[in-house]
Amino acid sequence: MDRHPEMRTEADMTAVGVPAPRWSKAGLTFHADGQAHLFLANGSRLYGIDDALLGSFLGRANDDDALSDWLAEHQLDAERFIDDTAIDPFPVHAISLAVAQKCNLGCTYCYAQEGEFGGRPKNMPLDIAKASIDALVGGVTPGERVNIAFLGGEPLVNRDVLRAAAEHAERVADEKGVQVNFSITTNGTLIRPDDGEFFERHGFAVTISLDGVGQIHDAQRSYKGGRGSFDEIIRRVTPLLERQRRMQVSARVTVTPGNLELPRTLEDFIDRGFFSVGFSPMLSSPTRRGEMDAPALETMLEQMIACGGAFEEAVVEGRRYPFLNMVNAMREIHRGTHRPYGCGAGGGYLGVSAEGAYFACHRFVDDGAGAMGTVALGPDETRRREWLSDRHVHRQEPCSGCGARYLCGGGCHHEVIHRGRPACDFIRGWLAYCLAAYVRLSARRPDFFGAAPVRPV
Amino acid sequence: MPTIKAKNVTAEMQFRGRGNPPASHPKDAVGNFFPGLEFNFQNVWKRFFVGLEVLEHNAQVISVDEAAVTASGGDIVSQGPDATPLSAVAGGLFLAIDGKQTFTQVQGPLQDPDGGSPFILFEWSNMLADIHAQKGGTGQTVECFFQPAGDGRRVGPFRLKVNRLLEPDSLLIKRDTSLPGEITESLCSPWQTDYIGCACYYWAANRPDYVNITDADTANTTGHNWLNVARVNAGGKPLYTLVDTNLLSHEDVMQGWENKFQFVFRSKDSPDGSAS
Repeated sequence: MDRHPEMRTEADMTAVGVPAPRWSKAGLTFHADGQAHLFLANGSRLYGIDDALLGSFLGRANDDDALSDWLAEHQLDAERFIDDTAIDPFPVHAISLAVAQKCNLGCTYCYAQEGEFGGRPKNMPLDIAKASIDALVGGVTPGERVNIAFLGGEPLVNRDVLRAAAEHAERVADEKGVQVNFSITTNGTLIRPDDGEFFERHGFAVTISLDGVGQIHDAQRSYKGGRGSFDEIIRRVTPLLERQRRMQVSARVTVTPGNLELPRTLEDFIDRGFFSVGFSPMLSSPTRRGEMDAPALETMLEQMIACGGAFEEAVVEGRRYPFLNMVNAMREIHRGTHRPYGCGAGGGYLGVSAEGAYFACHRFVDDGAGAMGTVALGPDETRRREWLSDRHVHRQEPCSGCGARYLCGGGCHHEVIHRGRPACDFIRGWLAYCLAAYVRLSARRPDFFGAAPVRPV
Repeated sequence: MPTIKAKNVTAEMQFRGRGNPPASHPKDAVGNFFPGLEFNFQNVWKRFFVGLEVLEHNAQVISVDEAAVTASGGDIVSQGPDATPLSAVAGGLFLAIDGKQTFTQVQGPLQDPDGGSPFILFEWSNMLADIHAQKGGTGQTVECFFQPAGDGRRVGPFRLKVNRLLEPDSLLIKRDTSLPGEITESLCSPWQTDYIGCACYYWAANRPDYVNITDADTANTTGHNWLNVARVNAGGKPLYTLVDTNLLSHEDVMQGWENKFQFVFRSKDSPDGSAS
């Protein structure tokens, strides 16, 4: 099999005369466009280098002192972009509202255990939604932006509260001069035409959970009685896809060993007009069903790289190709994003349960491991401080010695706390591919990254 | 020579060109001139505030475009009881932005009986950089107070919007806030600008701060401010002053410096310790 360069082993690469990508604590070395490259974890800095430099770097990559001297010699030394200090809790700028802790689907792997988070089914009352929003808007200054995500369970089960809460948020945000963005993640089975009008009017980012085309989706995301949901979702979502202007309707695919044909899914969903399509591996399920193991993750990596190839081709040709994982990776590599956390959970972002308790994020709803206070009494600042200290990537293992630590940030806290880190090779493999793709695309289409286009000579 | 080419934004920010000294990163710039004098960063701040043109080196408003301020959602009349029109601050000075002062009153044993307690300008571009990081291009307003030209009043607040001065996801200075030729303006006369600007024992200063010093090792030490053209003595000793009407300005140095400078030898005006 002709494996993609980022998938090749050292032996494969020696056979074709090009060194394999190699991770170290310092970062990654790889070849792209016939040139050696060095990605330094500290600051997520990317350099093109010559082969002699590559050789001298590799000779020191695992010796901190020797590497420090080497970096200074080549004027690549820098103070630590991220130190060991945890960020202090700061005003929350984003919340999710679990407006319905109940669901009409019975997905095999659901972190919310079919929507109910292991408890009894319940809806969020409007007064709790309003109080959560008032606290959010009250905590920021005029001119700032806040994000409100409606999640569940299935949020459209509690449509009236969702709509009243969004209208309330717009009102209080407008009074204070705060901008508000809305999003919803829905299974799509309950969407009505007037929901589309509402989402369009309020500029919602709408994410539909879809795990593949037809039976592939149905095998993972059926109604509780076992009936497939794909056709019904498409029937209900298609009118939204056609009318999206302010709203953006995206598809999110949870990848299990049962739906690994990613390029087919990606093409199909892009053709249907989704604003973006993203894939995420199922790493931690309360039932253990659907969790990805090492062989499945290796297959997923191959499939993701195949999708990435289609993305590269489209970008070079100037076609829009909204493969969300690549769009995000290209932006973050270009900026040199470096983060001490995998996400904003417990920091700028909190989840609110139907009963009005704060949790680190939507996945931790009703889970004591992520409890963060209550809307009535305010966020538990001591708990947030402890969380931000404990979850810092420098305090995670094996992250502290991983060259991908500041691009990855240590992964999803919920998955890590409940299962560990089974996907590190997958993440490093994907990032190695993305870094090489960035080199190729930034040379061919600098305009994709905001620079002036390359002029033909 | 080894090949090293920065490929993304953080690498570009950290990259040091071959032959440049260690302090030649943007973060090490001295606030006004970019290291190596490739351009004068003072000029980049010119359109920091939407609708205003500003001189960084003395925190002065050059001009006000009320239509542009209004279009951005800023105030063209102050929110304070004075209800001053923004047009009145053209030619005036910034006094405070978002509660932070641009000038500070000098403290210390000044001997000039006419000197009062003069105000000096902070290196306020550091303040601007912070505001830019927080609010540049976000649509958030900043609250500004001014002192109109020839007028001792403090007027404001005016809520103004702040431009983003860099292209998105890039280190490139934005095309529509820095017009062609502007970022290199004044590089035709770099030494004259430095001669005034680099002071306060800044390491790169190429002239003294303090001359004709007497009683150097005592509490009664005094001397002349080198910038003071008058070199006034009081009670037979040099009178130190910060009153700016007596101090050399950029304009003085640009026009006829040869009539205003003299040699300083062993910290004393030469040949006789007095002005020429």
